[in-house]
Amino acid sequence: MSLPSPHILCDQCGSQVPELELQPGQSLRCGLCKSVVKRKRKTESFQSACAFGLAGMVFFALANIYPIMNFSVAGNTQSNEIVTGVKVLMTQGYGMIAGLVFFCALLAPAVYFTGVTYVSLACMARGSLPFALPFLNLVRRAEPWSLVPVLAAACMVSAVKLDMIGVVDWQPGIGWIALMALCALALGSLFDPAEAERRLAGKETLP
Amino acid sequence: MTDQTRISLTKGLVAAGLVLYIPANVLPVMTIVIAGEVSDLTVLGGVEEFAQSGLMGAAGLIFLASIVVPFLKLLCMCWLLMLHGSSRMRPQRMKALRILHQIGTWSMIDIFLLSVLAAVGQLGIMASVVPQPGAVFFAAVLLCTLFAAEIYQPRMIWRPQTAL
Repeated sequence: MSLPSPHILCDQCGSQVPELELQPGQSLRCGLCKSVVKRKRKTESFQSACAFGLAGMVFFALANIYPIMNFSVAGNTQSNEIVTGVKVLMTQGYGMIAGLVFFCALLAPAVYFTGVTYVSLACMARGSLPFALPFLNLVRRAEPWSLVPVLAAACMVSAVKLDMIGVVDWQPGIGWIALMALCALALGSLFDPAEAERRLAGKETLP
Repeated sequence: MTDQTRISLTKGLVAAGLVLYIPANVLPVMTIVIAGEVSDLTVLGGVEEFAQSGLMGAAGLIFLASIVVPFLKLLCMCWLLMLHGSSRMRPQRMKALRILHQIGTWSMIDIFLLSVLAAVGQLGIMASVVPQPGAVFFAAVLLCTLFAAEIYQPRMIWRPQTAL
């Protein structure tokens, strides 16, 4: 009697997909919804994800230390960091908007970069680091709310707007935000939570 | 959370989003004071201002992200809810939900824009930016659409209809 072949649960439609051995560069798609359920990369993606996660953490710290821009009108100058907007909105009585900005521009990116770095390290260490799965769940929750590329675009648009009123002088913070956005975009394609979960469960072989 | 609860929550959020979309676009989202001159700006007013200054790129980006995307998201969620439980156009619905997840968050650009403008626009009567209630309605619409797309999971498209 032959043993039943192992199956993977498609996280998009919930159907059972027979698991096949893949060659590097191949991916397995769900027969029903055509989503990719398993992928074997040509190179180890967790090393790159860890590097981008770590870089993202550093850029995050720098983006919060340095001001984004100086804005001057008739000799009066005002500069801002990411958190300045949160503080101002809070003091003006718009706590809900301040909370939303704080969550999407500060808390979620911090959790995302830290979580991806830790989970990637755990995956490279074959799951020997503690609390890797709770961290992976945190990454899954934080990812849709980590809106650094949107923040970078908003900074650009606001500079265009402010340039119509006064003089905008870019500061190093915008560069760190742009680099942080690039890291977030790179991680979006490099870090696959489903692949990480399989690796942590010991079901994924190294490429 | 059961699928039935998810559907009910999604319906509630979409309905709330549709209602809130009106004040979000009618009420001003911010007041800008430049050299003592006060002007209230709605979301569309901000787009018009960019367009009138010849900044078509910025105008197009804000128009798409702040007006078109939230409305399309609400329409798309209505379509998904109407077809829920039927086997019609499942791959298309799946693709629509994926696109919603990918582009939906770009609507936040207006909220971040307000945050940056309010942060540097603290120069008294020379130049100041103050948020207005329209921004709260706009943020509420975004939250409704983001949560609705999160709660309505792709696997529910492939499930047969259950008694609702």
